[in-house]
Amino acid sequence: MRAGLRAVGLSLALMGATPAIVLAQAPGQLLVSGIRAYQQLEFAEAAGLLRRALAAPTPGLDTPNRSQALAYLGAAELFRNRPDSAVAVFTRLVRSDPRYRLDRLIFPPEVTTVFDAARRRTPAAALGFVPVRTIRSGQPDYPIDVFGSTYHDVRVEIAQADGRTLRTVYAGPVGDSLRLEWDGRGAEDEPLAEGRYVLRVTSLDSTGATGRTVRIPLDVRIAGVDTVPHPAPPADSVLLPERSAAGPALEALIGSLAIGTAIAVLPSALSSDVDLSPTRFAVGAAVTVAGFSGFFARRPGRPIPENMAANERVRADWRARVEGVARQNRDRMRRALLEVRAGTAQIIEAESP
Amino acid sequence: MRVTLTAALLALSAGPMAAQSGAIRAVVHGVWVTGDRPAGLRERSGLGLGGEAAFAVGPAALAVGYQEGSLDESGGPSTDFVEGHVFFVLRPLRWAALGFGPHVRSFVEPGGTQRWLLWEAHLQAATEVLGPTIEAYAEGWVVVSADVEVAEPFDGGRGLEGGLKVAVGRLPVALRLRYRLERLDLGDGTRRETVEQVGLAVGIGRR
Repeated sequence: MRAGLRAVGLSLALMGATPAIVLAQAPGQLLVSGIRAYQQLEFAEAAGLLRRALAAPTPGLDTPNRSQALAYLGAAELFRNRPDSAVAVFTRLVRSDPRYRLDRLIFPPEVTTVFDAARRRTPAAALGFVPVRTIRSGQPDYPIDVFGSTYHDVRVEIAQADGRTLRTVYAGPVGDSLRLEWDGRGAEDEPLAEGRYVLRVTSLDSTGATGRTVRIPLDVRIAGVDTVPHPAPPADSVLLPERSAAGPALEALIGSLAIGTAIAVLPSALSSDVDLSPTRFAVGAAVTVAGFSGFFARRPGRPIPENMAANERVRADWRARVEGVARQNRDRMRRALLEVRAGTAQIIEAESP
Repeated sequence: MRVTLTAALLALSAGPMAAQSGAIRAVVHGVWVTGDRPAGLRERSGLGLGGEAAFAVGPAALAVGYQEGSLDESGGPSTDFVEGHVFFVLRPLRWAALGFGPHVRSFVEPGGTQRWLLWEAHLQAATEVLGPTIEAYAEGWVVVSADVEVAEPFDGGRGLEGGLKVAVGRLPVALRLRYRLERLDLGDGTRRETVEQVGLAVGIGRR
């Protein structure tokens, strides 16, 4: 603002020409000429020059000079006895630069009074923000300054790129200024994922109707997360076979057949000259039958419920550890470092009823 | 005594970390004793009742057994018998065990008591038939030394045993079905003693 004023003052000092000879000059020169005409009380000429300066095609005046031009134009219109036009110009000034205040050393009270009335009727907010900042999610480290044209209600929101509101950072009145701290969180206090979002400040009029809105695009990037790797699934070497192999079944069958046969046959070989009790055949048969039972009970490919249950316990333990790590990582993600890059503000005026 | 002392020392040296287990069971045996002697064949049979116990520390175990009963003889007087054993057992493999110890048997007859003291070396092999629930086993042994109170000198002896060991569900109760045959040769083959037993044991302790 002061730099703009200095530029205008310097230009005025350097220019000795009359406003008439600067008709084809650049917007900055038109502004200087307009202010000079205003100071020479040539209000009609000043208004013409300033309107031309404001109407200049892109790039036109920058914000401080544009505000300066509107201020002098409003004052000139007021002194031309065109109060409605003055109010319209001041309203336009407030909407384009809600923080702007007329310099009471330059403009007389009758001008500042009209401007202040226009300002009070025009609720608008400007935003002050940090272009690039790295914050830790969950900690209110991203400053948002809200400047009001007048005391009014505002709604400060984080929204998705398509406009859907994720989080309301603040909803309430703002006077001259208000400092807010955003913690990088979105809907339901969840950390934002990487992507493009919008910081949106909406001014509400006295009836609560939506007025002017300032939208600032935010690019959010995760700058650092120290997550823990998930535990590896149980290795095959840890798991028990869930279906029986051929070995144990054959071992049971062959072993018991051999023992059963030995019980039945060997006594006769050991004591062939004695009439032995036939009970050995019963015992040998019992062993053999048990062997066949064991073979069929442990036949190859048969599911082994106890091993399946043991493996399920191992897998359940692994799943529990995975869930624990996931929970831990979610918690760490909630405290991730976020790099927030703010873009250029866009102003959306509410449509007139 | 020496065997018992050795087992005790081994049990102590195994330390507190070694797995300890024990078993005790009641046994009923059908017993057939056949004596083929120069005087003629003598066959007796009867029933024996007794008990067995084992205490294991790691791979070493001490197994003891006792039974007594009565044998009937066709046309002859009945004979009471008492027998017992103390074996030191070493199980170097899950499926194999070695045992050594004294086995004593006495026959009490009207004419006097006949005592057999046999020092036996055993080898047992076992296989799981149905997981850890049912196990079949076979055991063979030789008599390495004997003191038998008969007129004939001792020539040699051997025996075998086989059967099933069954664990009952999740209980510590175990059953055992077995057939056992012992053969002693005496007097340069002029006398042969055969003892046959079929037994059923029920006890506490896995196997």
